[in-house]
Amino acid sequence: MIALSSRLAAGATLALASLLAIGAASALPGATAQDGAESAPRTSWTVAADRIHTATGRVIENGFVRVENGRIVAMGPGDAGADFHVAAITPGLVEASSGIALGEATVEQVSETTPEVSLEEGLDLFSTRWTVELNGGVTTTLALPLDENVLGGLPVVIKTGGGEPTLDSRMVKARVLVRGAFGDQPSRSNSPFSGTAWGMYHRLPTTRMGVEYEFRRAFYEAIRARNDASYASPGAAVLQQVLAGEVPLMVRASARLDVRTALALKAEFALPKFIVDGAGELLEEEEMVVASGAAFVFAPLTFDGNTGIDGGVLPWNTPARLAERGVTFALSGGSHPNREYRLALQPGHAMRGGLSFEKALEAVTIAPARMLGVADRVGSIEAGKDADLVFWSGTPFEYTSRITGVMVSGELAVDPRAAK
Amino acid sequence: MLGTQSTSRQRALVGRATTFAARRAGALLLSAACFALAPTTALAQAQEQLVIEAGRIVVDPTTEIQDGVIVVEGGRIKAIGKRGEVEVPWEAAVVGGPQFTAFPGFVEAYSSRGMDRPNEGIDVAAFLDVRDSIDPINLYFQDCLRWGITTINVQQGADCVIGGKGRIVKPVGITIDQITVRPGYGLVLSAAPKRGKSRATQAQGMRDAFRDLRTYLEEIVQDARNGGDLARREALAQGRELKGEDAQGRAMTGSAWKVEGLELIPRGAIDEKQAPLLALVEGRTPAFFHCAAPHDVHLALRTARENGFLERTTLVLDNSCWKAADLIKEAGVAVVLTGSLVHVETDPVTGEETETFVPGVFQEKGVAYTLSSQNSSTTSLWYQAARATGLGLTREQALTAVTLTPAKILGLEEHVGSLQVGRLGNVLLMSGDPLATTTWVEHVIVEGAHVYDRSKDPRNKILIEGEDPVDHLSTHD
Amino acid sequence: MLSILTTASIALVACVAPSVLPLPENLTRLSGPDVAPSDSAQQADTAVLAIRAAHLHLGEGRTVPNGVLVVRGGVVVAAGEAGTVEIPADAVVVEHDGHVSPGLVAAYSAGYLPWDESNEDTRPFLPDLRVALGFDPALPRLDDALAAGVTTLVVAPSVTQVVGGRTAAVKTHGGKIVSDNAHLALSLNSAAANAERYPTSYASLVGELDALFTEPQGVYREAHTGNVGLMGFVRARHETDRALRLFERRGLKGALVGCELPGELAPRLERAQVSVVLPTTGFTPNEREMTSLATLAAANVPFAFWLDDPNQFRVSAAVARRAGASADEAFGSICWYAADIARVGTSVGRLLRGYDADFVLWSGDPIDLTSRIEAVYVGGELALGGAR
Repeated sequence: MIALSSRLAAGATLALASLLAIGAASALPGATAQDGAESAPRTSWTVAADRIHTATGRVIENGFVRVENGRIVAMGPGDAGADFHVAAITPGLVEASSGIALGEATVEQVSETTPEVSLEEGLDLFSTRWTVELNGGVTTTLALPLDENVLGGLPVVIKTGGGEPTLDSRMVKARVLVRGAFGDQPSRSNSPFSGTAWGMYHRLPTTRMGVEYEFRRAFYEAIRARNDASYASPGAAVLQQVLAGEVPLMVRASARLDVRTALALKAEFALPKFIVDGAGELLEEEEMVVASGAAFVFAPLTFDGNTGIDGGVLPWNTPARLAERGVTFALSGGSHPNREYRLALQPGHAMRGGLSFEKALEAVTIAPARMLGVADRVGSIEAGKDADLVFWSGTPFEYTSRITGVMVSGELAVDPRAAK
Repeated sequence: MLGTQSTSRQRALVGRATTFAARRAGALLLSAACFALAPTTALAQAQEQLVIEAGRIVVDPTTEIQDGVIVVEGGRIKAIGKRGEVEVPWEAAVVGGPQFTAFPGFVEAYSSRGMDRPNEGIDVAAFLDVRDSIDPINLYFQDCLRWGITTINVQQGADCVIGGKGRIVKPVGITIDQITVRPGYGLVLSAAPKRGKSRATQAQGMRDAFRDLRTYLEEIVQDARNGGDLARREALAQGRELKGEDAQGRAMTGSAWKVEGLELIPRGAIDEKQAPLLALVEGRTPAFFHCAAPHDVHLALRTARENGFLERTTLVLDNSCWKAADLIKEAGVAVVLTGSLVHVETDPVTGEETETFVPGVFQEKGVAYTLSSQNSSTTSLWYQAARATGLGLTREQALTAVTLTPAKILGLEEHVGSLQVGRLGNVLLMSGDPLATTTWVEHVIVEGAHVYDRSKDPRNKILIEGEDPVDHLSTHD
Repeated sequence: MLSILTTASIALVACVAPSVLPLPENLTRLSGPDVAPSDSAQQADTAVLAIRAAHLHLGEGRTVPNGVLVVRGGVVVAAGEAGTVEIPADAVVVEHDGHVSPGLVAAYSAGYLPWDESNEDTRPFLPDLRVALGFDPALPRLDDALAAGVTTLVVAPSVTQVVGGRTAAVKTHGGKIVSDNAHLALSLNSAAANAERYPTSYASLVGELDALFTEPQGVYREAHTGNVGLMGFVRARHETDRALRLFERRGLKGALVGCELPGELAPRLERAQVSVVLPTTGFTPNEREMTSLATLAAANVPFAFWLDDPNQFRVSAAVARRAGASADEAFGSICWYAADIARVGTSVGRLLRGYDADFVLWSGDPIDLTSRIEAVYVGGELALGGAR
């Protein structure tokens, strides 16, 4: 009896030991399985590629990228036990101006200038539009309010996928910049002074000069608030940060006249960090653009040249020309309804206009990341950054190439192995 | 025009000096008008000889010549080969250089653009002809030239039951005769409902059209048998004189149904509203059958079979029609893919999108297909081919779908779609590989005439190089 | 047991009483039996009604075969199996060989107030508004609800109000207001952010509510401590998400009304200990909606259905059953659990001693849509249907 039980015990101990051994093996670092909840998606991988475009200036031939728990940990030449192989890897694309908005509830329209209102509560992360962006290679995007206000508030940088569709899971950074708009949209829904006045939309501005007036008033009041407490307000506090260069201001201006207005106001208030979004007609004011020191996010390059914003036109050589002149810019797809104009195809269009490959790659990765102040986390393939990668079937951005896979925060949102 | 020989007057204009002046005149017209296309008939025929040099010649999607030369004479390719191996006439004008890649002009197998109001209100308008609505100076043709599309099958719009006669054109010329390559070519039919109709009434309209044809033919035959000459008198009343072939009768040659005794009627006496349909039923004219949804394909194929023109039918398909690919394969017809390359379906419940690469389906099933720029945001077949390559076609398959296959569908495979001796001199000089992103169409030669030079294209300068349109309104130059 | 219940109900009344506005005189003299005034109560006191039912649903899934229900003075005095319940000698006995269930309860309803009561457009913050004052017991639609077996329903302020006021639980017959302060109604629905007045954005909407519940005063504190219920209007999933984040931030608990596809957020609803009131399902919800219902039922999230078209009310419960909810959960969603969510679960929604004598005589199992209503009693009085 005792002998039997001790034999059983020995057997059990042996079994236990081997179980432990197996357990130990899978707990080694760099392992493929994810411990923790069974249903949590895998976030550690090693991917090999013919070419890895890191967007730091370095291109790795026949190399690998290793990702652990959602972060990039290593990259270099060689195979290093890859989980799968692709033709090319670029960083996940960064969209500096998403056109996806929840609607009018993203803007507090009781006043034209609400720079203090954050978009954190104005997002619908359940929307499948983010997934469409993700499938198109965009892993990080700036979610914007509608441009119904002159100064609309504080947008949020979010991931388009990965984890749960919650702000906790997907937010990269909130309150990254202040959003404003020139042109037609901020004044469009307001009614001119005629007949009976009713409703809060019966107010300034109904013209471009009204828009400019609101903008200047908000900034002058913010300046005045430094010394006169009666002008103090949450909005003024935010604009003071803009004036001090702590927070960038991003305004939408596409047509020439709106670009002029924007840059003139930048100069008037000596705003240190200034981004023009939806930029179109920049070459018509080339010297002003170069001298301004502003950064630019282009409207999508389209085949007929129309930006769709206030009739602005964007010639295809604009990015190349600005690159020559040393102007900081990013390309944008604006989540355009036409897939041919989305972010992944914009570098191709820009290259047709003369932009170099390396600059085109930067313009959709590290340049927008820097503009949005999130370059510590995204925008290039470097150790320590988020594991946001796009896998290509050939040379990235070529019309003959296709996105075969997308990884966001280490999760394989689009699996390149599935399409074989 | 196809097969036309140059007249003696035109031959007299041949010469280098005239060539240069004519080219300059072309540039002048290009820049001044900003929208007009320059070359006149005289110019088009004046280039008796042209030598095209290129670092790389793509003869067809599977054949290339490195460092080659093409000699074009009388509008057709006289010789093609490696430089040094081909005899080059010393007096001919030369265009090109080693930095270029020569490519056959693209062929658009179906288009309903470039016309003033392409859709006619009445259901059956077979007596109409696009000749009367094509606008040669329309921006569409200029764009075709810019993107290297040198042969275009223009058909009436698909918002009809049966439309009018189409025509194959080239995007060079300012009158309809100048641009015509093949007149009176093709009829368009639509299985998708015309605006205001349901599928049932569309099918009814289609049946009615052919039934009316049959009834009409039987009536005039019966009338002739009774000793009357109603048809002839009607024709005279309509102002149509019956001469030559028109005065002869001919038995009906339909493969699906026939009306006996048609030889009693002079062909020219047949009502002009019915004559094109008769030609269709007799298989004498191609049919371009438009389908917007998979179930339209059933109606199209059935109509074509029942009326004996299946063999001459090409289906013009919208996005979702790939679902009927098996049916199409069985029928053995070719298709023009006018929808987007990727068909996106959104699940109404989950909101998830499913994408289907449409040309890939037909490639796999073995159905002959062409790509089209009809509904694209750009009038560019090479862009369609490049994107298709990314999405799953091989390079050869994609290039074939914009050159050889459409040429074959239009019955022009002996004339366009590839660069071979005897073919028309429709040659593109591209700045790089035809499918590369940064490649531009730098020069276009149509039937031996050098009709497009990108460095002198004002619209290109405005759009791509940011030039101010105001600069192009100057009167000097 | 009885003394505890009595104490509890007395305590409840005591809590509620100071804030109850005295009912206007005419409210007590409407058609139907008088319920409130004490002299008629004494009359009612003497009449005893006993129902003998082939199946007696007590609530929470407990169904008694050959059950007996004894009612006096508008309340249940005893309910149980035939052998265990004594029928007083002077009782009027009703024999029913079908099912008897508590009267149905709607935790939220739309269209049971006069139309103008949804008209408040200009003032988004009305915490002290009492919807009970807008209740009209003579509204014809209440008869339709009664005819569908609903005896108690919650009327609420408009969804366009950020803080709309206090909901009320009312009877569909007799005009009794069970509670005129059931919940504080909040709206995180886009309708509250889109009016032509402040706030027009979710940011301001949430910001205001955040501020009101930070060191809350008055009714906001009552809602925070649970003395008054909290009812939040939402619709799209992102609105439910927004509401849950607000609740978690401010330590609030309550009911969310109107959630779409709640099952897809079930873990978070469970964690927040929130209950949900769902739109009517209709006869054929799609696959995704069914899956959502099934997940919700499997999770530990109390749910109820709202009442709009009375003919659809029971359908929702049947669909929930079809989706996988237990019989208790499915019928409870329009009865006892709905009463709990409506914060009147100690006086209606069950047939237990001390509860209001609101019950329905069915020809068959009430969850079976082919069963017909044969009689409805409210407050012990026959309100609808055949009498014996």
